[in-house]
Amino acid sequence: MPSFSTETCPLRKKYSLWFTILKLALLFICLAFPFMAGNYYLRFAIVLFIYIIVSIGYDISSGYCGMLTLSAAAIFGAGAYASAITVTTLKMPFLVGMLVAMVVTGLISFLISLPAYKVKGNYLALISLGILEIVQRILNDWTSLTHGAAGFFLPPWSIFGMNLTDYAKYYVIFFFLILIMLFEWGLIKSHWGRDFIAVKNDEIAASGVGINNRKFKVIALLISSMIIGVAGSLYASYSEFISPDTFGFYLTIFILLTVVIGGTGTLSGPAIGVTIVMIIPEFFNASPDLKQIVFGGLLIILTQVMPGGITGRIKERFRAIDDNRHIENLGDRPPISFEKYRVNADGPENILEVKNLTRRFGGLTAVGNLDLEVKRGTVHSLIGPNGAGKTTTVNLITGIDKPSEGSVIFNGEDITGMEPFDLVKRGIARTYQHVRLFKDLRVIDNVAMGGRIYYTYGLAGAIFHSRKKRKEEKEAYLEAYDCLKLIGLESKSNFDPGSLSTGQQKLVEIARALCEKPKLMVLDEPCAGLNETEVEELSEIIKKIRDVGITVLMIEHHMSIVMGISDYITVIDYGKKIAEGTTAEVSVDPVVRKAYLGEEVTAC
Amino acid sequence: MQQLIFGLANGSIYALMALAIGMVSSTTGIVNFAHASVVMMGAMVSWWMMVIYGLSYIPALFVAIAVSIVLNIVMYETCVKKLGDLQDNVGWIITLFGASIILDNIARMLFGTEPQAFPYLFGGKMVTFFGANIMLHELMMITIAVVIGVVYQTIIKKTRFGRAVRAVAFRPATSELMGIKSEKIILSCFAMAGAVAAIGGALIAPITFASYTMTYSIGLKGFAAAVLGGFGNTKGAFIGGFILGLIEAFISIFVPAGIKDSISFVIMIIVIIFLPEGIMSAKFFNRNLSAAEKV
Amino acid sequence: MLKVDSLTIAYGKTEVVHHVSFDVKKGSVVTIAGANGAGKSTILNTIVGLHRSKEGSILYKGEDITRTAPDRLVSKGIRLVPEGRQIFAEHTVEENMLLGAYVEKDAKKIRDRMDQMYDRFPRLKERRKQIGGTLSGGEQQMLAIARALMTGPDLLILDEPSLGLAPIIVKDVFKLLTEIKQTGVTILLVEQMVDNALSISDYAYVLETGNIVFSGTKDEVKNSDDIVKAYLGNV
Repeated sequence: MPSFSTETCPLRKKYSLWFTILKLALLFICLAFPFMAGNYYLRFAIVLFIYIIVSIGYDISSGYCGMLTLSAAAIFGAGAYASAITVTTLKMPFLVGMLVAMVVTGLISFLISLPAYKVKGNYLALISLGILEIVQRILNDWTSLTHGAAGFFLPPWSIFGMNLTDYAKYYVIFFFLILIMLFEWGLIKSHWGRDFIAVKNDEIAASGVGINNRKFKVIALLISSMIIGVAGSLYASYSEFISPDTFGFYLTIFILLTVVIGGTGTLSGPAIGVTIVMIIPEFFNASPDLKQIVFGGLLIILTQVMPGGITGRIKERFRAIDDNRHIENLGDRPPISFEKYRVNADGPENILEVKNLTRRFGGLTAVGNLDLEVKRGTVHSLIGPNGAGKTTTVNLITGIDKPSEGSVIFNGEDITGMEPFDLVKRGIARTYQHVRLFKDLRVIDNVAMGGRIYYTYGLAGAIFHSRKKRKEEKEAYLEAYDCLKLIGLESKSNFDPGSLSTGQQKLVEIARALCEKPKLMVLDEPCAGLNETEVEELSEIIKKIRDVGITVLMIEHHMSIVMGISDYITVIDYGKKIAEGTTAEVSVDPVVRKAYLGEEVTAC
Repeated sequence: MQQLIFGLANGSIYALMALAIGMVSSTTGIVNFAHASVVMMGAMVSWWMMVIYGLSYIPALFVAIAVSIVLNIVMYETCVKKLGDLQDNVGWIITLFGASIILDNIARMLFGTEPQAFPYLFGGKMVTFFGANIMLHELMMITIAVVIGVVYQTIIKKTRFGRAVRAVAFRPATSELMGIKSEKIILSCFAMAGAVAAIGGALIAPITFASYTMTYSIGLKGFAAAVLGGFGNTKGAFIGGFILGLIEAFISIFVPAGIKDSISFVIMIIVIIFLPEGIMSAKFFNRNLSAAEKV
Repeated sequence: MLKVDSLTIAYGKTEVVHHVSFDVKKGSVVTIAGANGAGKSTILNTIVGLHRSKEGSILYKGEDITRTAPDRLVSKGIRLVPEGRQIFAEHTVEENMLLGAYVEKDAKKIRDRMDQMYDRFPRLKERRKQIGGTLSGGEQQMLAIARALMTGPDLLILDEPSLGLAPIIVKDVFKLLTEIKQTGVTILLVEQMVDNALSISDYAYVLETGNIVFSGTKDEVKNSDDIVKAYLGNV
C-alpha cells in the first residue's frame, strides 16, 4: 500500500485491522472451501467466481467510466466461443484459447467504442443491444463454426497436458479471480482509475485537466471486454459445453443487476453483487419467472433508492462515523508558498494574442472580429454586460469551442482549434463559471487531478505498483495537499466536493488549476456565488498567483474585485470590443458606463 | 408484389412502435426500452379477452388498450418520474429494462409459455391483387398504421394539446410559464404510447402468434426504426418503420432468414455511427445544447 | 399588489438571496437593479413558481402564493417574460401566441386578445405564419411580451427585456412598456440598463449579492452612489 499523504480511503485507516482480518478470513474460507463443500456447492462457487470476473470487467466500463452498455452477455459469449473453437476445432492449448478470446472480445469492444466518444446514454445502450442480438444470430446461425443452437462440446479441460480434477478447476479459476482482482486494484488505485471516474463525472472538466476523453473511453471498454473475455474462456473450458441460450438478454440483465446491487465504481461491489444475485435464485427454484420478476423489481427500486449500491451505502455509513476528520499525520512538511508555482518570463511579451476571433451560432454572431492581447504576468479582466460574449470568448481560447474565424496565439504558438487536453500541456489552466469538480472523487483527488499531466508511469506500472508509481503518487498527493493548504482548505481533503460551499468549491477549482503549473490561468466568474469575505480571500489569492508570474485572464462581474486587482481591462459588448486599457482608464470611460448603465454619452 | 405488401405490413408494425417510442422521447428525451413488452402485453390481453371471455376482436382490443395505457402510466410513475434530470443520468435505462423483465415474466406466469394462435382480422381472408395472394389482415395493418400516423400528426400540428406537446418537447420550463403542466403532458404521451402499443400488439399477434416472447426481435427493430427516423421526431420515426420493413422484405429474397434478422441491427448501428446528426431531428438537437453553451 | 417578505432562496446548499423584502404597488412600475449574479432572476423565477423559496412569503393581492404552481399563477394574472425571450422557436408566431393563452379556454376571448395584440404589434401580424426562430431579436422580444399579454395579466414581470438587443430596439421596448403601463398593468422589471429602466419606473430597489442595499424613487436611486457602486464597484 503506497503511503499517500492522506489515506486513499479514510475508513480503511481507522478500521484497517478489521479489514485485514476480514480479507484474510475470506481468503482462507475460499482456499478451504473445496474440502468442506459438496459437489453442488463447489460448482456454485466456481460459477460465482466466473461471474465475479465478468462483473469486475463490466464495472470498469459501466461503473467507473460511466458507459452503460448492454452487450456484456454477448462479449462473454464471444469469449467463450472463441476460446472453445480454438481449443476444440484448432486443437490449441487452453491459454492460447484464452488469448484468442481476449483478442476477439477486444475487437468487439472497438466496434462498440467507435461511436462511444460522440454519443451518450441511449445510443450506446442501443448499439450494444444491437450487438447483443447480432452475436446471438451468429452463434445460432453460423452452424459450421459454432454448431448452432444445439450447443458446442469441448474436450475435458487440461492445462499443460494435465487433465484437471474438479478441485483443480476450482483453484485455477480462483487463481484467475485473484489475478483479475489484483489487476483491477492496481488499475483503479492509479491515476487511470481516477481518470475513468473523471470522464464519467464531467467530460469538459476531464478534458480541462488533460484527459483525452475518447481515448480513455476506448481503453475502458477494451480492458472491460478483455476481462470478460477471460471469464468467457474460463467458463467454456470449465463447463465443457456451451450453447447460445446462455449468452442472451437475461445474462446481460443478470450482470447489470450485480453491478447495480453491489455498487458501481467500487472494488468490492462486483463480488458482493454477484454473491447476492447468485443466492437470490436459490429461493425461487420452483418458479424461474418469479425470480426474473424479483430481478426486475430490484433493478427499478435499487436504482432509485440506493443509487450507490450496497458498497455505496457502506461507504456513506463509514463516512458518517468517520466524519471525514481523519487525515494522516503528515509529520513536518516544509512551509509552503506560492513561490513553488513561479513561472519564468521567457517568450513574447504578449503571452496571449487573439486576432480577429469570430464565432457564429447559426445566424447569431456571439463574438465578432475580436482582438485581444494579454500581457505576461498581469491580471487581465474581461468585462461586459450579460450576453456580451465573454464566456464564448474564453471557451474559444481554451479549446472547448472552435472559432468560425480568427486565430489564437499562445506564447508564440498558434493554438487555434486545439483540444483542451492539448492546451493543458502548453500551460493553460482554467476554472468554470458553474463549478465543475469531479463529484465522485474527494477534494484532494480533485486537486491531484490537476497534476495528472506530470505522471509518467504507464499501465503496467499502475498494475504492478511499480516504484515509480508509488513515488509519483506520493509526490502528487503531497503537492495536492500543499496546494489545498495555500487556499486554506487542507482540513477538507477527505470531503466530497459536494459537501463544500460554492465558495470553497471555487477555491478547490483554483487549486486544481494551480496544480497544472500553468503559465496562463483563465478564471470564468470566480466570484459568482461567493459572499463578501470569500471575495476578499479570493482576490488575495489571485494577487498572489499573479505575483509569481502566472498570467490571469478573468471574466468577472463583481466590479470591486475587477477594479481592485486588474492591471488591464477589456470591455466587450455585442461580441465586440468597446473599450480597453488600464483599470484607471476604463473606469472613467463613458462608453463603459453606457454599456453597463445605459447612460447616454454626455462627455464627448 | 407479395414481398412489397409483406414488407409494408411488417413495416407498419415497426412504424407504430417507432411512433410510440418517439412520442415518449420527444417530450422526455428518453427511449422507452420497455415498449416492446407493453406491445406484447397488449397482444396477450386481447388474446385472453377473446379466448377466455369470448369477446370479439374490437371490444377485446379496447380492453387491451385500457390495460396498456394503465401499464404505461404506472411505468412512468415508478420508473421515470423520480429520477430527476433525465438528460443527465442513465438510471432510466436500468429501470425501464427492469420494467420490461417484470412485464415479460408476468405474462409468462399468467398466460404460460406456449405460443397461442391469434385470430386474423376478417378471418384470414385472402384477396388477389396484381396476381399476388394477399391477406386482408395485412392490408388492414398497413391502413390502420397509416391512419394512426396521420391522426397523430394532425393532433400534434393542429390542436391545443399538440401545441403543448411540442412546447414541452422544446422548452419544458418556458412551457410552465405558459401555464402548461409539463408533467401532465408527458404523462399523456406515455398514455398515448400505451394505446398505440396495444393496437400494434393485436395486429402483429396473428403473424407471430401470441406469446411472452413474441416481441423479442420486433421490439429491437422498433428501436432501429426510431433511430433511422431520429429520436423525438415522430414523423421521421414513423417513416423509418416503413423503410425498415421494405428493406427487410427485399433483402430476405437474397439472404437466409437468420441473417435477415440481423440486418436491421446492422443498419441501426451504421446509422448511429455515421449519421447521428443526420437522423437527429432539430428538436432532439436543441435539447442537447452544444458543449460550449453548457459551460 | 405584490408583497415579498423576507424571501430567502437557495440552490442546493448555497443561499443566493437573503431575506429580501419589497413590494409592488398596483399600477406602478418597479425596477430591481443590480449586477449580474446578484440574484435578480432567481427572485423572479421564485415569484412565478419555477423555483422554491427556502424561507419567507410572497403575497399577491393579499393572498399567499409562496407555494403556488406556475399554471395557477398564470390564471391569477401573473406573467413572466423570461430572460433571453425564450420563444418557442419551432412554433409559428401565431402558435406562440396561442400557447400564451393556454390556460384560457374561451375561444372568442382568445381571438379578441389576439386581434388586440396584432393591432398593437403589426409586425407580428405580418409574420404570423412564420416560424418563431426566424424572427429578429427585437421581434422575438415583442412576441415574448405579446405572448405574456395573451391572458390579460394584472402583473407583468420582465427579466432583462433589453438583453442582447441593439440600443435602438431597446428604446422601442421601453416605449412599449410605458404604453402597457398606461393600460393599467402593473410591471415588475429586472434590468441591467438601469437608466432606461429607471426612466419608466416609479420605484426601484438595488440588489447586491442577494441583499437589497438601497431603495427609493427613481430620482433618489439615480442620484445615489449605491447604484454606481453596485455596478462598477468602488471607483
